[in-house]
Amino acid sequence: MRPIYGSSVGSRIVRGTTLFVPTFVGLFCVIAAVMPYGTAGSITLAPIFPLAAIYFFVLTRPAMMTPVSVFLIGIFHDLLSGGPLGLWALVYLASYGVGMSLRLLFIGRSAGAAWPGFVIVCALSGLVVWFFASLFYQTVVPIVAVAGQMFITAALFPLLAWIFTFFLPFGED
Amino acid sequence: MVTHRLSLFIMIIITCAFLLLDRAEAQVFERAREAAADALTPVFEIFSGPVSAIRDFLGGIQGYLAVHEENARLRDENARLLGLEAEVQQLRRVIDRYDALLTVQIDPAISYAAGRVVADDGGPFRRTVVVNAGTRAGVDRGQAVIDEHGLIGRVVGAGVESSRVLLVSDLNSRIPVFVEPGRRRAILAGDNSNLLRLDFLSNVEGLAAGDRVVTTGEGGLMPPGLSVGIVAGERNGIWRVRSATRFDSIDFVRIMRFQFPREIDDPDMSLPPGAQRIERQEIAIDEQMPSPEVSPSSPGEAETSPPENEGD
Repeated sequence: MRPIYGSSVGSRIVRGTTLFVPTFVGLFCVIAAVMPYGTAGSITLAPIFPLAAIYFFVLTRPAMMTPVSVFLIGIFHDLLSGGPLGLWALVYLASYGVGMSLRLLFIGRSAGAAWPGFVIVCALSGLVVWFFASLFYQTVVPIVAVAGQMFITAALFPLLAWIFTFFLPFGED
Repeated sequence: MVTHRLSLFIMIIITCAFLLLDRAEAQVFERAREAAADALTPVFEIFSGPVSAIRDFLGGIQGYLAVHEENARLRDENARLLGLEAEVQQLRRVIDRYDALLTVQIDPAISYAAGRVVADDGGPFRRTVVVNAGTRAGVDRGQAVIDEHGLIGRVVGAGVESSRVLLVSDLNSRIPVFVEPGRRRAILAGDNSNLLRLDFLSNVEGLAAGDRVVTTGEGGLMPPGLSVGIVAGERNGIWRVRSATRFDSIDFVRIMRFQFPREIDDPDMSLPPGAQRIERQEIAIDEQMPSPEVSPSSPGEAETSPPENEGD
């Protein structure tokens, strides 16, 4: 899809709207994340879609995936998950910080090349969510469930990144 | 770049403030959660249908691969249940006789709100689901939620069109139970795994795998006698219970609109709806005790019966 040029009101509105496409993709990923996929033992059989979306758009469209966007996506996930308000927001903001630090390494390379970086992000996110959930609930949250879901998320990143590339032509960096 | 870092720092501060506030005042954000779930329930219903269908299809494939083992297990279970049928009938006759002998305050019939699981928590540290039945259907917090196998959890948040159910496997779930036979008291605790934990067992002597676990009804939130699961065994001093239901494929559920019966001091006070008073009978103590005859206070035959034990 070609970038939208022109100075008409309509084109400006459309250009303004496209700035929020990564945020909308992140919010939609939250809805996808809370679908009843089922579990295998204590491990939820679904990746953490918003985490992949945030990392992907931080690398490819950092101007559109801002800390405010990440915060909104995280709060939205907290509201729908019924968990502590702010927990997923904190995890995603931490991932945003790591993603911004790794971005310089992957400029100009394919999304698949960023996969090792996402593995690091998943590991860090798992530690953060495990630590703060244990602190919030004043008990040791089973780490197997956390590690299992982060593994699934990291393993499916290439597929998710391929899906997210369809939204890249919207707007420019 | 500096702007991004400053913005990131501010967002982290705000997020930590939310966490602290939620920890201190858990109810503050409950309305927001309920409103969000209510607003998105129609979206959940649209997308959860295909997701559940795919999940059940994959589960069916797995079940097909184990069809022979499942067939043998079902045959054995059927034979065992047929052998118990006569015993159950005999016990029912004994209970009916005791009901007729005593002044029994019959619990009002339990009504249900049916719903379907349309979403879950999507995370690794909670075990909750969202059901598309809310206050409009008479759902309220604390009500027990069951499926065809037994108790699956209780309502912890109820919006107009949806409600959030805390599963018994969640690490925050605590339910007072009896372990039968012997009616050993315990607290059934979840730890996010499929095997629940029995805490504060009153007596472990004679406890064995296969013993049945049911709710006590203490606290008045859940009716007593709801099937929760079967004792799986003991490991490292901790007794585990295998739930009657499969948490990985919960679909259609029923929410029990149970009202704890109020205490009546004056026998002349009106009874709860659906209950009828049965007068006490004078029983002659004799060598051969005659069969008791029921004489209801109101004209016509007493029609009430104890509520069925769901999930058995």
